[in-house]
Amino acid sequence: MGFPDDTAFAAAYDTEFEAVWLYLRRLGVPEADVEDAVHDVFVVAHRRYGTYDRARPLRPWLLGIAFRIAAQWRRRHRLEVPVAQPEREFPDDARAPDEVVASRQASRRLHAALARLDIDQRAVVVMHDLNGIPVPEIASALDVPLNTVYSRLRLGRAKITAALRGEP
Amino acid sequence: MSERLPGELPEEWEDLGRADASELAPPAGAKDRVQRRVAVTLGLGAGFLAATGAGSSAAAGSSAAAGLGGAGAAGGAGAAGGGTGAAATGLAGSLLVKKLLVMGVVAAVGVGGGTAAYLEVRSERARSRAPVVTPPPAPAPVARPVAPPVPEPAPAEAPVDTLGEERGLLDGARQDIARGKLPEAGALLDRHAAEFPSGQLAEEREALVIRLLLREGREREARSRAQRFRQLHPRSIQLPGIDDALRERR
Repeated sequence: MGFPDDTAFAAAYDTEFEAVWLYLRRLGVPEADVEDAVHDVFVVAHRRYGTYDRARPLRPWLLGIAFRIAAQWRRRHRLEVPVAQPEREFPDDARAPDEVVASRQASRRLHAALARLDIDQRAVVVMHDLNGIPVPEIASALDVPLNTVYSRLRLGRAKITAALRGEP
Repeated sequence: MSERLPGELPEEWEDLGRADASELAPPAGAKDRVQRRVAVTLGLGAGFLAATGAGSSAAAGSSAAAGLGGAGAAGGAGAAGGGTGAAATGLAGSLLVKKLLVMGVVAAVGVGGGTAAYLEVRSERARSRAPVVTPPPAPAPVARPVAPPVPEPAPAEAPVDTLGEERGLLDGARQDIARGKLPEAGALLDRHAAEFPSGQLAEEREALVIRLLLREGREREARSRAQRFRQLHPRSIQLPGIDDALRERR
């Protein structure tokens, strides 16, 4: 069963596109593949709409689908030697050069910390601590017990804190 | 958020998150580009594209957007229902035979694409700066059965869970083409054609087949398939990419 109508689906796309994009990137889907992955998330969401509990917010449900797509991506690519990604260019970046550098460094710091988490912990920490989604919604979106979410969050946060403090 | 949550995060966390969000923000045009692809895959027409302005956005500025946003797309989707059934039935017999053939080829060649480092990317933006991989000299043409261009996909019937599998096959094929592993790419494309003849990514497959044929030096075949593809999918979002590939060859 698809979305009730195209306009509702378009509204959902319009509102959620960026969140889905960012979530996939934060789960490790590289820029070169993220358009494919976002495409796949919305295609699956459209087809799966019948399983969506409308009493719940849409975003966690979509991010739950995004998690599965990102996990599939990782399974396909886990044996690869990573290829260096070209630096993204910001041709019309209005910020001062030092701001640009600081922002890029901050982003790298965050991703270096996230990289220490396994994909399940990462999915939870990003949803909770970057998207601000409450634990019960995460449990529903990922279809795991509440206590599992708490436990992944606790372990994930500990790893991140250690990473940001420069601990091994 | 709750007292049950142990392990506070460092103070800088929120700043890092904000900086990261701006670093990873989608580039201009990505939203419209993906929306058009979603529309193609799901067979959605004007109602979907017009509602967010993807059909008319200046940033999009592509003929595909205009075509999909127009009434033609809506009409086309409706008409496809009837046409697809007949065409698909006609194909079914030959596909069964092909599938058996293909399975043999796949088994013989093996499938190594999934583990290849990806070097090639798809979006136009990314393509322009992707590392260039020079293919080795084209090997002798292989008599490889490749399913003909499929008619409009029938998304309503496609099982949801196969999208990842389809994506895996085409990803692998794309990587193999980029690395010059042409027989491996062919095996993956054949496998996709056999397993998902009218799959959700059938148009993407055909675009890859055309590129593979060009790489193999089978230009005449590539052109005739491209022509057929154009007739079957005059509004396909894959067409600009196919045209680019044909132009590069010239």
